[in-house]
Amino acid sequence: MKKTPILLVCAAMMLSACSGATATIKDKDEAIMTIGNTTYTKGDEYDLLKISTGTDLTMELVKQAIYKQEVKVTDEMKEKAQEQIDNYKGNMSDFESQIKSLGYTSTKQYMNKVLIPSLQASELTEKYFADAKKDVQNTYKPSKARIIQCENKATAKKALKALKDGTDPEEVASQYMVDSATYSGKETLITTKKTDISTRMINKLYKAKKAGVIDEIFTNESSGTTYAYVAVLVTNTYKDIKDEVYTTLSSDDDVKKACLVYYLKKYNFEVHDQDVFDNLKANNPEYLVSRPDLAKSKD
Amino acid sequence: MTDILRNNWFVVLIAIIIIGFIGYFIYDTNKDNVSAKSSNNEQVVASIDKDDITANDLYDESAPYDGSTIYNMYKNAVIDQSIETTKDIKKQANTLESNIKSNASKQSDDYESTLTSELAKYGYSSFEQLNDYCITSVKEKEMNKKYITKHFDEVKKAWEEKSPRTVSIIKMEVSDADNLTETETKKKNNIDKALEKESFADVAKAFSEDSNTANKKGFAGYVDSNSTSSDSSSTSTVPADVVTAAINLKKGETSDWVTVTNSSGTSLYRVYVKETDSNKIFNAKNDTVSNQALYAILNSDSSLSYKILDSYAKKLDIKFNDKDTKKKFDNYVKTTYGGDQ
Repeated sequence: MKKTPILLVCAAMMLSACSGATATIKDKDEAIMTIGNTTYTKGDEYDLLKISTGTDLTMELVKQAIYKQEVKVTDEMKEKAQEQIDNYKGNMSDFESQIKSLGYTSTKQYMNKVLIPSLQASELTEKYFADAKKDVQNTYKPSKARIIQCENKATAKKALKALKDGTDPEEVASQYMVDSATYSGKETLITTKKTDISTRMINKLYKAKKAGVIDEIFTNESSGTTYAYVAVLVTNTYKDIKDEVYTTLSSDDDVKKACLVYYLKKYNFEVHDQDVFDNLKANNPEYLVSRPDLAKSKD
Repeated sequence: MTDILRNNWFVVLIAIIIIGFIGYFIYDTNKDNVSAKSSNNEQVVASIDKDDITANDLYDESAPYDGSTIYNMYKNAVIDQSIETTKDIKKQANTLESNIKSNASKQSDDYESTLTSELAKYGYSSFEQLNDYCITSVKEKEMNKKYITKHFDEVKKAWEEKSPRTVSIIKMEVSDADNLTETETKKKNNIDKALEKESFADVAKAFSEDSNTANKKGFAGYVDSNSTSSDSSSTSTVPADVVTAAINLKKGETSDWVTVTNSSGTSLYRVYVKETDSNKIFNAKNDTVSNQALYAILNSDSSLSYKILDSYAKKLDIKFNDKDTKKKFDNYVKTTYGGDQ
């Protein structure tokens, strides 16, 4: 049997294992400067820019493309941005020269490239809390409750009895809560971002079928304290607490990231440049939504 | 066909295994490779539904702000063509490269990626060019040294205003500077008495408790008035109060005791000014001192680095092919070095 064809097939298959695509600019060979015997081209300049800041900038441009689809620029936004410009000008005498030193040609350009995208980003985050309602609920398990922090289980038991007897939570708190308690019977938004109360309490409040006293005493032994807690659920209906959930969580970095990932998935984000892909793979694999295996393997 | 397979079953089996192995190898090698995409004859970097981010979009967005990149490309070309790459320069560059890799690997496992991004800011497009960066850095030092040696009288003025000097120290650790124990008082008196009869170097060698300098006869190296500020780039280990005392002394003088309290405790210091002659300091045989002097001279005049580069650039044919690049270069030089183009 002739072995040559098999070897040729193998060689062809080996050769097909080549590197990924690299995107470059149209006029990459155009010279920008010549210093003695060295000529630099636009392509050289582009390569350096892409490697140093290209990934961040790509993601910024992707965000702006998503804003175009999701958050239209309104007159109100323009007015707000103008107000910010006026404030800067009022507080900094050299505002115009400062933005020029950063590379912006005018205040209008600064407004369009920095301030308006920033307002769109806020708007998109707010929209995320409505669009990704199920994701937000599953991840952050939001509810609104009145919690009373007691010195120990014995005090908490008395507080729970008073609550079940129908005493107002704030009145119960004034009688049974520990001095300088974080939770004093006032209405508080509870999410998984609260680290000083137990996961069990967060889950119970989120899953409770109706508002009212939760018939359980909670502790948080993992925090190393002996405090005990009792709780009254006010509501866990998302639409009633959505605005508060947004106000509380919108500045959280994990939420901002989750928001971006949500819209990257929605718009089927894909990378076509190997350098950008490799950089994202190393630093933000969760953004490579077409390759969810990469984010999982980093976890 | 059946007969052929039956007669050569072992070869066929091996062939299937090899093809399977190669197939997996190809899959594994290519699974992280991205596919190319074009839009309106432009190459696409990333895409979402209904929108593409092209390489030209990326260039247009970042190029207006890349004055420092243009300047570094220019600087590298001027330095590389102005200073010859000698064996000694290569050796120094290799040492620098090893130090950078060693320090970076302590910071992060993925240090190659971090260094690649940093190198790009300095005009080098890949990690493989780290050695080129190091060679240019060593050459730049050489270039600066040559220029300063030639124009020393002209450039030394701003530097001398910082009171440059080399110093030696004696350190004595105490529990409470205001209430010395009997042993501490005795040691302090012994040092004072010894300084009346012997040289500062001998007393430092015999008595100093500073582990960095005691074995060097107390020699602590270069200081100047910038060494007293908290954001000083000086690598001197001499505490700020001790530097201040040294700045007020003349060559050959020794300070009184200076009390220094910091996170590691309280110590008493006496400082001796060994040299104040700027020429001798700049040409010191001790590499650490001469290098510190070199950087102190460069820091004493914010425009000096560019002046030096420009003096070498004038010997080369330089042409900017487009107005934007020239404008970005000029703006960067003006903002960073205060120079007019």
